[in-house]
Amino acid sequence: MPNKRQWIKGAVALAALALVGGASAQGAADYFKGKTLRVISSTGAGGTMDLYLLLAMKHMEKHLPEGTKLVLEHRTGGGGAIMANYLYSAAPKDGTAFGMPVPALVSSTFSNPDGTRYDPAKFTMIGRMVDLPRVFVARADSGIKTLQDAARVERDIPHGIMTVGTSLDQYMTAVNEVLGTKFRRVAGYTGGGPTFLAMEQGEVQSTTAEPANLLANKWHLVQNGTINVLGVLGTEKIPGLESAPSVLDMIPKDHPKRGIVEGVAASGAIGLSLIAPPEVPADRVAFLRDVLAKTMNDPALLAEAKERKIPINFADGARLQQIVAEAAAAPQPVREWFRDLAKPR
Amino acid sequence: MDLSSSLAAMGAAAGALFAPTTLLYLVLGVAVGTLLSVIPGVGGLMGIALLLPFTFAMDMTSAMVFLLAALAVMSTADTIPAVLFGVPGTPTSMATVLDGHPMARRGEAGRALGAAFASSVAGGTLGALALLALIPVIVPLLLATKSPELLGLCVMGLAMVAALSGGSMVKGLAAASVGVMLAFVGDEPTTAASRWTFGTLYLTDGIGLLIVALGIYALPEVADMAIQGKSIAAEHARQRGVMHGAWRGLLDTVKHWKIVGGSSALSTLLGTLPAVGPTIIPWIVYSMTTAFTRGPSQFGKGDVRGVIASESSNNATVGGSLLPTVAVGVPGSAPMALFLGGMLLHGVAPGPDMLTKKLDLTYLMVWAIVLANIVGGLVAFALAGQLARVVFVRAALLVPLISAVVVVGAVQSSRQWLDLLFLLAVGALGWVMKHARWSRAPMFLAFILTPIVERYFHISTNLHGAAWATKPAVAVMLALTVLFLVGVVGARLRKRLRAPSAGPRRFAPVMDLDAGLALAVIAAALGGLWIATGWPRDAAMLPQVACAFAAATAAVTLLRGWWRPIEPPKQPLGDELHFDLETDYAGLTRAQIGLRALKYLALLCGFGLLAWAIGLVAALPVYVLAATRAAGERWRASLLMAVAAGVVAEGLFNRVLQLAWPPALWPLW
Repeated sequence: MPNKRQWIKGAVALAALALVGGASAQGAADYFKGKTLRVISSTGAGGTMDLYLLLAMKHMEKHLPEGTKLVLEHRTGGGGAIMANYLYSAAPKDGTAFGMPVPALVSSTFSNPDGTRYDPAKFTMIGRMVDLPRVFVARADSGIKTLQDAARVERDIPHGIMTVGTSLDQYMTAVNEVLGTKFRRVAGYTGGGPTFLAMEQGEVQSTTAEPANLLANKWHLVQNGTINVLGVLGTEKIPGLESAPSVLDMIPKDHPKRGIVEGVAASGAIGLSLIAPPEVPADRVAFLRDVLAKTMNDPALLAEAKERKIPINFADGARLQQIVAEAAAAPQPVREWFRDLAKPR
Repeated sequence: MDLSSSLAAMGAAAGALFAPTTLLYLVLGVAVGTLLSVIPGVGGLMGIALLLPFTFAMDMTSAMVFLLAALAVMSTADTIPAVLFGVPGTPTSMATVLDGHPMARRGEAGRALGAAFASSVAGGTLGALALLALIPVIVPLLLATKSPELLGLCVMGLAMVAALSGGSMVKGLAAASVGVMLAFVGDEPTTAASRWTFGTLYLTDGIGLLIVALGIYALPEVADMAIQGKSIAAEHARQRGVMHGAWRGLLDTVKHWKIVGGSSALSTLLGTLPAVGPTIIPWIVYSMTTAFTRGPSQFGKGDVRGVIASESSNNATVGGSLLPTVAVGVPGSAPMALFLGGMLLHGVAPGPDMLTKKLDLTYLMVWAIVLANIVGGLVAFALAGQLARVVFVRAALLVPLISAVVVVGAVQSSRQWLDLLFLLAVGALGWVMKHARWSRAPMFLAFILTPIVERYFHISTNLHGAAWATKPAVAVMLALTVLFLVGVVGARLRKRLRAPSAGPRRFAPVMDLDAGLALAVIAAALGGLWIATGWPRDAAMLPQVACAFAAATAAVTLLRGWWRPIEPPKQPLGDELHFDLETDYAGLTRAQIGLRALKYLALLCGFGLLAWAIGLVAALPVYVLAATRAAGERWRASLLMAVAAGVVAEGLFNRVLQLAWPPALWPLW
């Protein structure tokens, strides 16, 4: 039981801590006041990433000191490596530059060790706006209603992807290897939109969709029975797709290849996150994390997201740090699987 | 939806557009779009990206109208730098350079711009109106156009390089194969092979379109202006006034209404296919116009019909590309992708509902495009009257400014210093091609079409094997392509048979620019072929064919250049079209030309190095000072220019547009 003196000591210490904390938050706020913060996107303008960045930027300004502006800039290419390399080593480390890497921030260090010049766990994590699992979908006229159907069929199933060895291919191949589904890659589509369109056209019979796009823009196809939702590969439940079967639930914990599917799902867990360069001063990190948390919990943002069917699944900076660290700690066979999948064939 | 409710929606949409606030945003969009598109490399995509955050505060209708208005007019005002300097404001006006710039140089800038704006307005309006007819059929049309059909269409487009090859077909094909080889640089999606990237991350996504668009035409034009040391238009044109002939350009457009109509209709239709896109379409329309125009023509040397075809086309594509964006959420161009982002942000979900339940909103977008085109034409006209005066400004002052703007535009490609290096390399290639008379039009068309051809080739063969070519629509397109090629080759053979013989020839190898380029292409093709042997079969197949073809056509070009008539022909081959700009150095010796070209290049390299060291905006005034002094300007004028350039660069690029730059080693600020 602490005595009176200890109580006083504790109270003084706490007050001092609060003062210092307050002062440093104030210091960070003063630092950012009137500055232009550059928000860097790693994919082409106009995509899902921009949708989220612009949504965040729209509501973030009111939580920033007066006169602080946000500017969106794009540094695309190299499957996201150009942006991540830039942010890691060339962008200012004072908190005025942060951005949204591709969800494959960690797995691309496995698949493209030469091109990625960063240690993902050393980035400063600000927070995650939404996770980005993928949903396996198939045309109803292919007769495939479930992933089990996709494993049972005799023929192969033309499955639309973009580039061999990257995200969509990883989802497809992991599920093929673990569940025995017979998806056959048809590569070359230029993005999620064109791949989905190819399935609508009947050119391919299946693909994996982003939940945001599926729910906001293509849900009528599910409702009118044109398209079946087969399952979701992700670590968390997706609001609106709660009833869709989870791929991870179908794989026994001791399955020798479960690690691969978890590795793929880890990219989805990183999702659309905001990160800053390493070594940003701690008070500014705390400030930016706080601003993002306030923004993501802002009723105006949440109402807008709900109205526009934009899914939100916020994770704070500490949680994101943990997600990235776990993903980066993938065992060697999983790393090799990613690397081998990206090898030219 | 029946006709009467359709008409009601159409009327309601027009009414909504004329609400004062909406109209205000439309005019604002037009003004901003016009101003942005005049700055090469910064307008278009960058422009819409910059505008998007400004729409946060607007209501949904105003935001849609504002963005579309800006988007619709970007292919109107981007013609101004294309015609005046040969520097396209956005890549969609590249084909306009071919005829528009030669017109400006012979003092017909006013006529070229008049025709360009009139056709832009007409094309944009007709294109948008054609949409109204397309709305009921767009979804079935989009769903039916799969990879084999797109492949057939792109092969047809690629065959147009034959029409653009001009004077020497073999040279044109060699130029095209250079474009094909450059297009294969980068990662191949179906095999994950890295092709000719030399281990660099920069090249994994290929050589940027913006770099090639600015390097291949713009830099060589500016370099020649520096070499000539003269203003763009001859002095005699000054007396007639800058915009003299604008009215005539307008009448030209009316006179060639068939070109306007055909080009707009075709461009709208092609614009609805997300795969083709607004950079490619004007080229296809331009080549078709040159191929199917009867009677004497001056295409490539300043034929107003070339300007009309290209300009009515690039504005019409905007309307076309709106449909797939709203109907299926697949945008046809990068700026449209941003517009889609804007739609989603304002809660407008793309989908079939946009063509049924929310048809009034789609109609509103169509009307906005129509009205923006009309307002945009007027604004561009007013602006051009002022801007066109620069054609009389002396080269010493103009060259550094345009070069600096081109450099700023090029580094916006990927915000890396390598952008600059590739700009210089492509610029040097463009200059050599121009002077060796290797037409750059087929090269550029091949460069932009090849990736799409390869992409759909792999998807089609993956899904259908060789049977893709037997699908009815594809078979028709391929048959038309063959007929077209037979027609072009036949016409050439007949012409050659009728032409008077050039007399006896002898084999006389000389090492001129033409031979040097041919040898370089042969070496690059053979080197490329050798490297490609290490790639997976699917990744190597088409590049190897391209390399072999490039080596063969370049070898024939080389040998034909060396197999010369003993007597130079009395009559130059004047009636043969050469789809490229030409420069008359009027009395300069070869040594002088070489020296001045090197001086220009050295100054530009110095600019690049300084920018790399201290930052681009800081280096810009230093470059302007050095370049104007080197061109013989007095200290006073040079200093004034440098300070003005510095202030404008800081104000416009850093403060207003807030552009991002490649990181400097020791940034000055």
